[in-house]
Amino acid sequence: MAEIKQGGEQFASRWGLIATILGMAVGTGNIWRFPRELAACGGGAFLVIYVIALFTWAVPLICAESVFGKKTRMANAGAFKVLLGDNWTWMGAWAGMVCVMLGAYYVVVLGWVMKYLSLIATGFLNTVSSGGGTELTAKVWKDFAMTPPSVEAWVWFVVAVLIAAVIIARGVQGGIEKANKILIPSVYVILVILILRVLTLPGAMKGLEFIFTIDPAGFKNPNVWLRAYTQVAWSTGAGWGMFHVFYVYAAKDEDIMLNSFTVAFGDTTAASLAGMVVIPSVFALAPDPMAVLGSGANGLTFVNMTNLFAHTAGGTILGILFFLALFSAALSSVIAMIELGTRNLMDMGFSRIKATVYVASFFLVAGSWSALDNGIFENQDMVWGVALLMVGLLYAIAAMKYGVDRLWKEDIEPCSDLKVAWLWKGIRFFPVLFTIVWGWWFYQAITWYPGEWYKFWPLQKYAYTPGSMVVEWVLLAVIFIALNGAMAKRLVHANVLD
Amino acid sequence: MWQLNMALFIIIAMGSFGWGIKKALSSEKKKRG
Repeated sequence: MAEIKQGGEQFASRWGLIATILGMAVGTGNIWRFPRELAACGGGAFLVIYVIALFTWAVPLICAESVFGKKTRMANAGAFKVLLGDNWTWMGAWAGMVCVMLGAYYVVVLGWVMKYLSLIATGFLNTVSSGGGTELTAKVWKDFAMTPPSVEAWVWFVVAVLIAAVIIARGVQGGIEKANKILIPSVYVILVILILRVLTLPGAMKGLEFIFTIDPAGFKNPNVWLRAYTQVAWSTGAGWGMFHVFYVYAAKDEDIMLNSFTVAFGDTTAASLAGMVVIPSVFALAPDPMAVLGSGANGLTFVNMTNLFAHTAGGTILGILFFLALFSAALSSVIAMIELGTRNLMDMGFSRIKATVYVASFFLVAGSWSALDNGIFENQDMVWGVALLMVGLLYAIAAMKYGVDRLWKEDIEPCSDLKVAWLWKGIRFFPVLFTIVWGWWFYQAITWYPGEWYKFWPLQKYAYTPGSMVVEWVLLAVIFIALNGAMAKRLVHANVLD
Repeated sequence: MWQLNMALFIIIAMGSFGWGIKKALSSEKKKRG
């Protein structure tokens, strides 16, 4: 069992915890991926399936993670060790490390957003509106981030890591909680302001009509189901191991079920508000809305939205607000990713400051490759994005091994205002959902590379192959299996509250 | 018809979020006396 160390860190209030886990969940995926997926899947039917996926995928997984953190007061590796035995430590470490690997390239996005924020604040949109158009925004984007070595993007990436590390080093109440209490409300407020402005544009209502018109054919289309489930998995962050880490600092009587439900719908609220900004503005301003919405995350945000803002009255203010929302969403997620690594090291006896320095240094080393070369970024996005689905499976298996009913009776139900046992017990069906969604992604990746799907080098060329995914996953697993004994021995420093 | 769908979605998704926050905060207030 963990060493008893009284007086650990704790959130000052329940709102602090909710703002922090919302901050983890609400990320750039809400603002630039959700509207694209919604558009690609034809609107309304996607939204209905999305809500079903919240109940069947997100809420049970968020509960599983949360209960692991609150019960053990240790992060991923330590919790797997305490609840399942020393031999499972490597699995918890692998789960945590997948998120750290994800974080290392995700910070690059925060750097991009900061660059565009400064670009728009210094009058870039005036140059675009005076004749540059998408040709100019595309060129600026290409020169900045798509032409390796992207040195300027790397500099912004370093600044982003440092900002997040300073917040983490200040601790749970003084850093993480304080930052999220500002960042998260600001995302919602900014999105509402943007909606109010965008809906005054002629033609914007057509965008709302597109979002909320339900085509029954969508329900019969397996692709729409798979994309909605994937979006829920990648947007809510359910089953990634980060809710787990923040519950290490939760109050003893924290209500896991109600918080999980609230965060799942809070994330959906942010995503749908973003959809109500992006899609109506594209319908109002772009000559071919579907081409713009299908232009990929980078194309939509950095090339097309920037151009659209440039051709709107008050566009500079709109652009600043849009990128500020993206900045708040991205930074709050980066904080969670660095904290995950930090807490795992603290469970091994490192001080918060030392652990933060080690994790931030790792981010700088591992993320630099993605910052400098977008081909590597794309590879990392695919490899660790799909691996996150597997982390969810590990949590479901771990919950079933420990006992789904036991966890409900011992830890969830006694502190819950929302006693909905079936919602938690749906975790038993997760392996079936996982097999379908993960299998679909893996199968797609095979079809993208006929005859070459098993290749992995160079990573830029085989960015999305099953070969590159399996090699990187297995490499990480081998390292942690080799370190299992040593990690199990050091993981004794739980965050025990007074 | 789409207006009705929009109203329903806002009530269900955003309403659930608002309800959850309100319940969580009022329950904490009660516990703190």
